Amino acid sequence: MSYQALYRVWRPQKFDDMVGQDVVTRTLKNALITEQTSHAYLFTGPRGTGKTSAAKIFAKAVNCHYLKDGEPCNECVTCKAITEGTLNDVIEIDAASNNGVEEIRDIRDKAKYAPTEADYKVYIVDEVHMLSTGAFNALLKTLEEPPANVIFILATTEPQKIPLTIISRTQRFDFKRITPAQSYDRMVYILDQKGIQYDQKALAIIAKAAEGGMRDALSILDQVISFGNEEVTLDNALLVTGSVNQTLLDQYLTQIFKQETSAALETLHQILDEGKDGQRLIEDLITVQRNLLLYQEDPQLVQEQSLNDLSEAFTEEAAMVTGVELYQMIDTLNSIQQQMRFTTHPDVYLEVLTIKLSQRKTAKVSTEAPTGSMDNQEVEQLRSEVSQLKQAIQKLQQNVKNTPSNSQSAQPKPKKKAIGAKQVKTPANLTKIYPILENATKASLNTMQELWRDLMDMLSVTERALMHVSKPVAASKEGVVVAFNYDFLFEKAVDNEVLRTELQQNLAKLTGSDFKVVYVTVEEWPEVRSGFLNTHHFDKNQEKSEPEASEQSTPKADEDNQAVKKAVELFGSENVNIKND
Amino acid sequence: MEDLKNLTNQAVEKQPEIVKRFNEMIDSQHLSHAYLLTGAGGIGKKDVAQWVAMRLFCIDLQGSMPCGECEECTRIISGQHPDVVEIAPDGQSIKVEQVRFLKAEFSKSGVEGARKVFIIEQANKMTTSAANSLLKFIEEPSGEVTAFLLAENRSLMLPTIVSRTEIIELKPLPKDRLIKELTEQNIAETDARILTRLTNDTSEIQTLVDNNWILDAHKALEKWFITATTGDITAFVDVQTRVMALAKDRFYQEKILDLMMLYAMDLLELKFDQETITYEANRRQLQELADQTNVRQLLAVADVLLPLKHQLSQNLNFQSVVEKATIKICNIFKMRGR
Ligand SMILES: [Zn+2]
Ligand SMILES: [Zn+2]
Repeated sequence: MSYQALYRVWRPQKFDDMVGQDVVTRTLKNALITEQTSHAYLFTGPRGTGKTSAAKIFAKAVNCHYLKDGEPCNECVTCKAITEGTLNDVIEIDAASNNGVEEIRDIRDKAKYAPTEADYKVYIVDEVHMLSTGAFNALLKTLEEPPANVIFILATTEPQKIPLTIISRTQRFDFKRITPAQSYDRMVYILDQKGIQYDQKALAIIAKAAEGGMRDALSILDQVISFGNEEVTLDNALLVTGSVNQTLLDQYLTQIFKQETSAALETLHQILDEGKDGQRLIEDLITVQRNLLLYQEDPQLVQEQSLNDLSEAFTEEAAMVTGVELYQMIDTLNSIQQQMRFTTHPDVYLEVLTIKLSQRKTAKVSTEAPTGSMDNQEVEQLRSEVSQLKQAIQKLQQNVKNTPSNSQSAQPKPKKKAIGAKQVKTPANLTKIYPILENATKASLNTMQELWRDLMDMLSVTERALMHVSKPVAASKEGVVVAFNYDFLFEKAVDNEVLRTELQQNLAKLTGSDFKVVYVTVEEWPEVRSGFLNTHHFDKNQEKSEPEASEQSTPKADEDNQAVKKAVELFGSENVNIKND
Repeated sequence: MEDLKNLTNQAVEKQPEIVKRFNEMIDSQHLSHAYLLTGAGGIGKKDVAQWVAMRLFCIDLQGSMPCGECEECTRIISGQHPDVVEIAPDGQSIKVEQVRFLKAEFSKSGVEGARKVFIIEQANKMTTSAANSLLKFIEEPSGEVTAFLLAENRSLMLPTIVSRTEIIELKPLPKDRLIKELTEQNIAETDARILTRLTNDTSEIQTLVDNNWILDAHKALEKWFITATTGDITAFVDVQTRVMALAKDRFYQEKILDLMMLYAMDLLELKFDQETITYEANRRQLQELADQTNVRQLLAVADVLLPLKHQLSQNLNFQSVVEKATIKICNIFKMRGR
């Protein structure tokens, strides 16, 4: 008398019991009523959305003599036998464990014989994408010459792995992910039937954790019930789903948004000490951030989706960040989530994540004076940044005055003079440059140089000013290294994520393929380049050309003049603002 | 007999809440057909699974605790119980043949009783077909079957498997207790702290302590890291002269990469005033370094060191992985000097 799992007990027995698949069930019922059923179906969709259940209901309906409005009666001998899995004419095959050609050949031979007990023989092939090529071919032969009174229902979570020749011979139904609201309602129905008490918040958490699978929702619900003396409590729902306590999560997010790295790290440690799954934490964070984004666009929609359970903290958080920042954070979350798949130290990745999220650069500097909440170091850094910028501009103006015949003197000298400038200086990002250099070719660089002007023309005036004296110095099929003549423009560009995204998107438009854009200063470039050549043994790689050296660049005086003007336009206001402090 | 008692105690000691939870589930007959137990190595996953098996089969229950001494308990502990079957990867993976064999065994041994328990270690190493085959088998409502799939990390498992199991996350063991245990075995506290960051598995810890490996590794990597973070390219040479001798096989190589990663972590922790670090013995040095380096550079170091273990699993050569990383770190800090 083993315990029967909820999802087994409450497996839908008729189409109307099914959750969230209205289109599919309506179409199937119509086909049954009008007796226009097909001999092969393909049911696709995420796990736990009811594909196998629908297949079994269909098998009953097509064989039931008491069909009513397209639904099986579930009372007659045939219906009962199918429900219990004892009817010989309804055959369930698990392609995952029977993936041999032999088994499918066997089906082919047996399918020829008429059904013995029912009107139709129904083959339900689960996880059909797991079949071997040979087995698919055997199946195709059967589908090409369908025996009378035989129906195939192929179910899969991965339709893209199924040969088109098979797909074209089936009628396809796509099962949809179940929304949290739908699984919430279904759980309420089941619990009411069973007379079990529940906390609505607990059900909301379970619905969310189930990620669109009804089976998942019920199996989590099962655990919560078993752990809570026949009651569904919030605490147990949190425990079982491994969801992070919402208060801690809000605290963490608020600290991230306020850029309080140390405090956010402490909260993270607290969360981890509870044994929370790192992946689940990231999923939760992504969900919240997506909701915040959505909320900024359409508050009503979020209200509805979250089962009208928006916390005060949530609305406060929504006011703390901009959409652009949220996009960037979601990007960071996604990339860390990917990397984390391979680690046995998720905590380390989460720490790095926390720092990256809370250290994002904002445009604050130019719009408001530093406030007391900024730490000294930050203020110090800004100050030195400003002084560096001023010096750079002076330098630029000087350079323009005595237009040099020699490019070396046209470039700002490595600056030792600016106090604290050392701290500010951004190193060339070798981890990003090297992969590009590893695959760099002359041809790619030529292409890049040819379309550079077009690329620049696609930018806004301000952005073009920033990129004005930049040029591609190395390129592969996946990335381009852009050199800047002036350190401060380089610094500016490095910090400007929007610009980078724009460049990458425009490059994709121009070339039809994706490029990473990485920056370097002209001054650093020779060193980066030779450093790379020294550490990578290029002597053996004849087919790859060396990245181009860049001695020839002498900016024209008038170009410089313009650059200076633009630069002052760009940075002058910022200067003034910060001076106000 | 001493050992056996230890085993029953370990599940209770390491994961008291989980044991309590299973007790309740068994009492209320809510035991489900498949559980996925997740958590780091040494956290007690197998202890819990075996405890449940003993709880189900023990013929001399002490209250709600299995006795650990009766015939049933003894057979479970020694892996001889016909109705409690354990499988582990055969080489790189758990293959569908292993599952087939297991199914065959079970249909044979059906006479022993209806109740059956599977314990599948490193379940993430099941091939897709092995996993599907197993779960379909378990789902068939013939007899009372409970399967325990053990894995370090839920995200390592196929979603279709995860959705067919109930997931139970084991809480990390309190670090301090483990550290105390180790210091009682005459391991220096600073080393104990490093060891517990690498693994919770006592047998793994033993391996790392043997022949002073951890001591030597700490020394070598300390030198390597300090050199690399001054932008001194002789760190590159350290890889050949100091690190390679410690990297005897894949196991040690992975631990070395973890140790390197933990240096990067310490710098970040110290930069942001966090209390606990791994390399307590190097605190002053690391604090100084963290103070002198900006966040962007520290993150760059982390970006170099974190993915190394995955690179190794992609069959890249250990030495070249570490050498490349060394150059990258040197470059990050070389730029700083100018
Ligand atoms: Zn019927
Ligand atoms: Zn016993």
